[in-house]
Amino acid sequence: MASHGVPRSSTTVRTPQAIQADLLKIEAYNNLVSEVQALRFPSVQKSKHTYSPTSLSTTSSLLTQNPEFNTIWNFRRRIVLHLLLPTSSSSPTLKDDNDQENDKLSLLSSELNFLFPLLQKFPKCYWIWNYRVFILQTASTNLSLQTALKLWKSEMGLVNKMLSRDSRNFHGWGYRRYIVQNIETLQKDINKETTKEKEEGEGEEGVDGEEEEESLAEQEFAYTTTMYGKDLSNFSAWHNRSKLIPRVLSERGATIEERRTFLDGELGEMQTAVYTDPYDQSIQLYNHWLLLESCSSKQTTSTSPVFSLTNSQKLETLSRTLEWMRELLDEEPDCRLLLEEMIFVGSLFRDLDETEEEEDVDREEIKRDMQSWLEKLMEVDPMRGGRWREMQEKL
Amino acid sequence: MCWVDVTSLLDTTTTNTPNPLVDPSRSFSAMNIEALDQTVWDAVIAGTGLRESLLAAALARAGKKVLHLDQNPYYGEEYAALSLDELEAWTQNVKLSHIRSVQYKTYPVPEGSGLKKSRSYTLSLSPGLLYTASPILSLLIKSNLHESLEFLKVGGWFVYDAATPLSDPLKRVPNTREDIFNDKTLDPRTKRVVVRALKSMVGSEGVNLGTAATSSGLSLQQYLEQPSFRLPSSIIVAFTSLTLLHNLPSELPLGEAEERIKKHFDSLGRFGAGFSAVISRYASGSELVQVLCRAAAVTGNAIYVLENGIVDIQEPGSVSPPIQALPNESTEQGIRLSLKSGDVVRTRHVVGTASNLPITAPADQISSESTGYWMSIYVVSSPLKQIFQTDEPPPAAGAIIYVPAGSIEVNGYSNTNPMYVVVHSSDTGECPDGQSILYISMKETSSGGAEFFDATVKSLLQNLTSQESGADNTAGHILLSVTFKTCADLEPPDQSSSGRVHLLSRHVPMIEIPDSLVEQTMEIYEKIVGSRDAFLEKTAPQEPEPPGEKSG
Repeated sequence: MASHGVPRSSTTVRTPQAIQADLLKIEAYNNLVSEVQALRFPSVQKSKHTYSPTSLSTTSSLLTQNPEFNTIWNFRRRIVLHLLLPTSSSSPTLKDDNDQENDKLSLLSSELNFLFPLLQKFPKCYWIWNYRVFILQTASTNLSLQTALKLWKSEMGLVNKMLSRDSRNFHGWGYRRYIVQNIETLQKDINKETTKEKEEGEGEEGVDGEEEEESLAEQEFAYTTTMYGKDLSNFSAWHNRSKLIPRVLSERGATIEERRTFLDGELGEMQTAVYTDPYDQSIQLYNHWLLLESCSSKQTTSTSPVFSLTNSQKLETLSRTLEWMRELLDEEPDCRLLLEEMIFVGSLFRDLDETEEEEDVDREEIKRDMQSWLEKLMEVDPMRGGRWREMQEKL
Repeated sequence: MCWVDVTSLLDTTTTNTPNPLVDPSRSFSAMNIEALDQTVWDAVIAGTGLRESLLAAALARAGKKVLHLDQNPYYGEEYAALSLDELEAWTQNVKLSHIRSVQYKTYPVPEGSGLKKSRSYTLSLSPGLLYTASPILSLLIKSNLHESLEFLKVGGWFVYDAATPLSDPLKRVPNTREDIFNDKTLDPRTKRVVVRALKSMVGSEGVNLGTAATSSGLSLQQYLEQPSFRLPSSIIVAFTSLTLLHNLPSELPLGEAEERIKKHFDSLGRFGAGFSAVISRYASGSELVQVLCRAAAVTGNAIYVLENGIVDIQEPGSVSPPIQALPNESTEQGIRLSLKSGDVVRTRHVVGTASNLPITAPADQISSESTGYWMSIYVVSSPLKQIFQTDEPPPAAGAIIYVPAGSIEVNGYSNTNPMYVVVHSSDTGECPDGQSILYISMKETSSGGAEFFDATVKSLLQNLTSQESGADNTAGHILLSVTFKTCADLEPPDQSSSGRVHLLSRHVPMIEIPDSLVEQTMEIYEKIVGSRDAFLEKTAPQEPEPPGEKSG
């Protein structure tokens, strides 16, 4: 499970011939290192070569062999920054802006392309990722917004590929959020510019760059749906979903009523998911978050709540949840996770204020049930027996 | 020079020519008869079936001298790959006693959509499926032979039920918890029991069936209908389809079914997401045979002769007067074999099935109790793209469709036994683009037989091609069918008394290339070499020792 079901290749025994071949490789590698170091600390005559395209390709050969050599990545950063500087006095024919932009773009996208096979070979090497982010950031500051946006957007292809190969990878999801955030920022800046241009040149028709949706929240929300559909244990997908819901709802301009419908939809889906596998923690955790967000008595009024249910709506939602959980418990009487969640739902219920139409028996019944669930927990989870006993005493 | 350059013949295996090995004009006896009788072979193997070829490769790699014969002008025997012409010739002259009622049939089709050239087909008599957890595959990988093979995934696994007219008749068999979660036709409670049953078969969640249930004599159906599961019939059928067994769910012994289903889930995800089995390109089993024979030949220890066989076996003692010598030396003298070509060779061991050796084995007779199966190969003029679609690229090249009992009707009767349809796409290189090959099999029943196959294929084509008609408008037609009756599960034969004539039981391939082949081969290997260690492992490269100079 440590590798999320992604197969790992086994290591092979090395023959004397293989060792000999490796020794040759090491020698060639060391020569290459000396060559690059000579470029970094040149004798005075050669200094103009330090930040040349030749240096770039020499570091390429070295980094392809050893991408963990972070110093060389830093050297490469300097080369790239140097090459991005306007070719001012040296060339008498002034290039127009367009040409300069194209040169920069081709340099930066060739950097991104250079990294792609490296990432496939060394997906866990941080330096390659850091350098990739540096190139993308450099694109944002050195290229026009539109061109930079294109580079960032094409990065989504890489992210999708990564997450299809290892759908639960924490870094993969983090990188995805980072890319999305940058695309959104760039799009926002572009939209601001177009609005300004429109205001300035009123009446002028056919201003390029239609305004596009700034937020990718809906798209990302749909992506989490696809991903948990493929693997219910994808905690990253559930987590991202919980982070996206507030944004999605406010962007939809959802009314309180619509928010409640949305919540009911999510809770219904979670009922199915928990029924499918009550032994899966990530499903129960998302369900836990939904209930805590919507039905807690301690819901603060200072920040705007995602779901604003009335007290009786909360009680109704919780007793509905308990009802199907009870049914499921009949099928799976020993399921620890389910019992814990039921105790959680029960305590949420009991924390809420009583309503007039509510009968006391409900509360009493829930209290009695919670006693028995804790009893059962002590039996199936003796390792945390003390915790359950204390809880029982405090009921 | 007494070596036939077999490697040059074998080198063509990677191209899409059905029988690159067939070249009778280069048969060994025509080239050098002398070498045959100057050598005392360690083993003469008659027949190039999968077990024989595996044994030849293992022995040759262990440094044993092997003479490998086949009566046919082609390699592979029961796994042979045939062009259309060869297949037609095969149907007219079936030498195997367990294959009967052979019928070769072509169908009238619209102009331009018919069969292509004979050589553009590479048809095998069985689909040659291998689970990814199969010991055969791990053996091939361990011995580095997998590099010469190109495995394609068997992606789709379906239950076909034409009797339910409204919904999609082709229902994907759920493989994962998520498949069940996403199935809109099941209510939450059912999802729970299906996942529980699924996990009990995969062996997680601690709900193992346990030996009590297995030994209780329950059928798979009875087990899954128990109060703790109460599975809906659609799910029971889906689980049954994973067994690749032709019994009705109510007649499937639980233990056997469980083992088969476990194998499927053990195999899932081993080579990639979403599939449990593979086929090798260019008529699966036949490719394996070719790779193994090549591995045997390149060691320099094995000689291949086609269209030749053993006509007489004389064990020492029965012919030449016994020489006053130690038993060891009399072994060295070996068995004398007379070949069809007239040559006489000496060997320490002889291996083959009864049909390839001049031996009458009582067990080789078809008893009335042995189970009969109808089997059939269909070529159709539709790529059947829909069934090869998979979540992850590349698309699958093989698919399995289970047709439950009672779902196909012919003349008012419906099939009383389930059918398996294994479909190969043109990606296998076995048929031209735009066509597919269907292998159908069913247990013999008293009422009706092969006529259900035609109806099944027509029904499948109708349902599948109507859905993809947007892409290409030509409805699928049946172009060709070859149908025959065969018998499986035969008793293994007794070993010959001397222990040096090794009789292999008849092997009748069904859907899967069975794992038991490895065990059967290893048993004989152990008898010849003395141990099972390093079976099929490549020894360090060394100059092959000329056979004539072997001391002895």
